[in-house]
Amino acid sequence: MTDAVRDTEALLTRVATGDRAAFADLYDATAARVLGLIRRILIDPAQSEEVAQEVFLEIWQSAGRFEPNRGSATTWILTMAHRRAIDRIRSSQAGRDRDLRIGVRDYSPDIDDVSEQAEIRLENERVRRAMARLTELQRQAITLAYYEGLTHTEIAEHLSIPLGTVKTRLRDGMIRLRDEMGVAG
Amino acid sequence: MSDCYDRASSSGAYALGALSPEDAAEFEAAVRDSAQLRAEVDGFAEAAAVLALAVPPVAPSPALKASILAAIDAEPQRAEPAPVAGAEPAAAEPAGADVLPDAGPAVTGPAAAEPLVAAAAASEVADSEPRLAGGQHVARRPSRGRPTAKALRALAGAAAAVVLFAGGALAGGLLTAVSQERTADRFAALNAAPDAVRTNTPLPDGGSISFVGSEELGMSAVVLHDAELPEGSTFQAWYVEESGPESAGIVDPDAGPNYRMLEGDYDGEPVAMTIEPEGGSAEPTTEPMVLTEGA
Repeated sequence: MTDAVRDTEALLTRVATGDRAAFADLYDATAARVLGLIRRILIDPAQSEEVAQEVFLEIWQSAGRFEPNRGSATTWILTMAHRRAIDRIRSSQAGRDRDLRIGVRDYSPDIDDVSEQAEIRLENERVRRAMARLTELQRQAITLAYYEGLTHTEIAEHLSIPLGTVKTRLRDGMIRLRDEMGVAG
Repeated sequence: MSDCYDRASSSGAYALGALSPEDAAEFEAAVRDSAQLRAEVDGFAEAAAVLALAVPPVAPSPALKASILAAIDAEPQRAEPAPVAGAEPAAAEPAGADVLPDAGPAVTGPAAAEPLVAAAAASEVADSEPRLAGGQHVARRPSRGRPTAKALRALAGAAAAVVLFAGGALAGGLLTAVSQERTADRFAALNAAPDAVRTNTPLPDGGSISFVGSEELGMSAVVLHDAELPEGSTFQAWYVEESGPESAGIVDPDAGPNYRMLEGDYDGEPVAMTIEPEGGSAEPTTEPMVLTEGA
């Protein structure tokens, strides 16, 4: 567990007690990550900030429901951000229009230009290694699901493959990511 | 597709947010019945965070932080507060969907239901038994001998002297002169100040006003929550100095974001709010509502 991970958890625990200064610090520590993820999914900057605001309000409201024994605080926050971004895509015209632009986009994590902090560099190296462990087909299915917000049924249609095959690719890919990142489970 | 094997095979899709709401609900029911499946889902959630971390961070606009910090002032927190560090993790079990109205420090609970009559607040202060309306949370520090009660009486007295300014030509000018973005930065800094003092005061006609001030930064701000005013009137904030009230600026609920930085230096003195004719007044002309008695 890195210091940053521990710090995020400590801040979230304080936020749960109504500590606004801790909330401001938690925002500073995580907002760029949260907004980066939402922007990757929604593209539109204004909508992305709207969703980021929803995410932080939800963090404020439900920090008391974070269960440290089930996962890290960062994961809890990013899971929430992902869910809200996907909800926004599926409920908006912007989302329906996205079909037009989804090709089978070649995905390469663009992580060279992020902060030069040693801790982040280290984290990025782990991410790069984990992503490299996926097969091309796993990476494609995971990209369509996670970044493009397609359901597994839509992925099956998009790639003209059976639903069962999509499920298997997604699950096998997640197993590899999990094992490579040393996540327990 | 509801046999056990099939549902378990959806764990990857679930962690990636790729199930329809119906499929997700069905899968969550299966997770409740299986500790093994729950462990897999938790592990996959950590793995999905890797995908989030693979995306380049995007720096948010300063306005986003200010807007969020303003919004949480109006938002009660849900569920039980998390246990303090070192407590049994099991205690973090979610406490159902119940909303505890006063779980957060934003005083939106029972206090908000009690309309604050400004005159009552003023007379309580005059009893030299100062008590903030509505159980506000104020960091109390030893008094530095500032004659708070006397100063507040002077402020209430000043309300009798009706002095209107026709053109709103108040010293300091209107807050709108400050560029919006710089204001957002200052508001964000204020909210993050370690010595920030916060109060929430219900308004007589519904809604409330939050106050936040930092002596260290010499800054203060108010946040309006559903505040409504009669046509042609505005809120005006006042620093209550020993020499009498000094305008801290006009706070118009219809203009701009829901927060306003107050004008002038905040150094821990009492702050009050009155309703004034549009354009503001040189002296308070209505009964003041006390936002903070001061540090």
